[in-house]
Amino acid sequence: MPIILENISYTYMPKSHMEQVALSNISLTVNEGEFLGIIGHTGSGKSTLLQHMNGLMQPSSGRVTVDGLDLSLRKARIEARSRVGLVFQYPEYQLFEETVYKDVAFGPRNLGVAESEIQERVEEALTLVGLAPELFVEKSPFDLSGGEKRRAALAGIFAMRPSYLLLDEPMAGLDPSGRRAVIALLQTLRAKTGCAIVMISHFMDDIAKCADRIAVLRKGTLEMADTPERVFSNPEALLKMGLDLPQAAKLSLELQKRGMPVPNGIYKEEDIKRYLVEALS
Amino acid sequence: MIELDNVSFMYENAARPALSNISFTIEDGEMLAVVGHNGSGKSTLAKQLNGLLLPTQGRVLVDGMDTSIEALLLKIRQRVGMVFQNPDNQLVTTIVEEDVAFGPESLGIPSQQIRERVDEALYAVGMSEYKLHAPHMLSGGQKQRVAIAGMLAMRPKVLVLDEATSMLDPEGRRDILEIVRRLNSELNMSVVLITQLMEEAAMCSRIAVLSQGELIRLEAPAAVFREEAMLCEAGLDVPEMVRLRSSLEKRGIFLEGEPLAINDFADAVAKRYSSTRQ
Repeated sequence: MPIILENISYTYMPKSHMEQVALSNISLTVNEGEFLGIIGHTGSGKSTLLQHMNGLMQPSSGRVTVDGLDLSLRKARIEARSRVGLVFQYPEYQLFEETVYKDVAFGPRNLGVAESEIQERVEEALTLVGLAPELFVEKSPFDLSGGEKRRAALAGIFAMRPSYLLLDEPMAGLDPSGRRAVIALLQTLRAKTGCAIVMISHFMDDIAKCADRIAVLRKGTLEMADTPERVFSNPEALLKMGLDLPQAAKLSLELQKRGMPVPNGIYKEEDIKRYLVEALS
Repeated sequence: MIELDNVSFMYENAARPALSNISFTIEDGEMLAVVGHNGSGKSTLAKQLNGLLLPTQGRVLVDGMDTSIEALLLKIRQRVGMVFQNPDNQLVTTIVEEDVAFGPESLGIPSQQIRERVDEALYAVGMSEYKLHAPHMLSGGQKQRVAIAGMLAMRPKVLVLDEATSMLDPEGRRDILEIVRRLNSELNMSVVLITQLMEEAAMCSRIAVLSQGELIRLEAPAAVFREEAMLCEAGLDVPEMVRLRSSLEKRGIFLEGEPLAINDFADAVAKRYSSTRQ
């Protein structure tokens, strides 16, 4: 069953002089197991939208359901939070426990998971993020490097075994190897657990690598929700919205301008590579 | 010109130095990228350049002025302006133009001149029409432009950007890079661009590669990006255009030159394409 947003709107500080519409009439479905990318200009409503998907924020109007649970009901929200994990920007700033073990165990413990199972989950989650449990469980999260902290924070969410994982800019501030590691991690997680992933990112290349579908937000409205081929085949619209194209798509466009018959819809590095090898051989 | 002479730096209680024996010179008017994995010492290095941190060993000279001499610090910081990563931590007042005036005011510059400098600086970053706005209502990219204007109003010779685009959306990033390139080419301002994005580093005249606090390369982008294995080892990467070129080369397809930017790469490919068709 999916997460369904039905015609939701959200207004900050309604009826005051600071009133601001953050989301307006958005309908969007997050399907089971899919990887949905969310892109948009700063202030377009991306983070606000994400926080509606696990009931952290309630729409001013419209309805959100997670696997049929109506999030306007408190009980349903609590139930839904065990299914929908949310990772904020710079999650490493939210580590707080004395040891990595306790930090990763915090989520499942909160869900009422039995102590014996918690240990299993912690070890599984740490292994998944590439922090060998035997080396890390006793460490203080504050002694880890930046990249390790980020992975420990992700492990804390994975340990809750969510069916949907929501990520707000998970790659921000990471070096190239850290970015590669997070992408690989998300792909492993999906392969192993089949969970759906919703990821906000300003890096079009990362979105291009991962997403099955892309939602494009502009000033609180949903402009498009479509396949990457379709979204990235409309460069003028994206640029006008303050966004960008993946490099492979930019290159295809530049080659077309120079008269080469590059097929439309190329946006991945391996696809433009295959084309170049064929065209130049 | 900023000279680093055998600079080492150790944070208190740290197990190993954050910077070890670093020597190089930032030339007037150059655009230098500094790249390195998280924790490689990039930000620590940046803070050495205007005396925010002082070397534990060695010295840093800004136009000959030693950053360890406290009496010179004000002069040094006027010459070397810094813009940091988080746009929300750098603006201090409630009106954009006051924020930009903050630096020159603290230098004791006459108010008429401050007025001119503020207008000029806001114009240079394309923010003139926002001069009476509240900084906290601006977008991240606009805040970074105001932060840069605040530095420009000090009329620095060197602008250091410490991952200043990393929290911005693509448009914000494009704007900042465009402004920085213009300041470099039109005003001959030296720029030190600390970045995680290899595509940004590729736009600079030289790239310094840091790993575990050591300077392991300092060369032109084309030369640095020839060493893909070394960069991967250092937790980095090469730009996509370099990866594409090397996979073509592995199949015996050679392009002219060493194009790093997409436009140049497209030129080289189109040229090769038309020659194979003849």
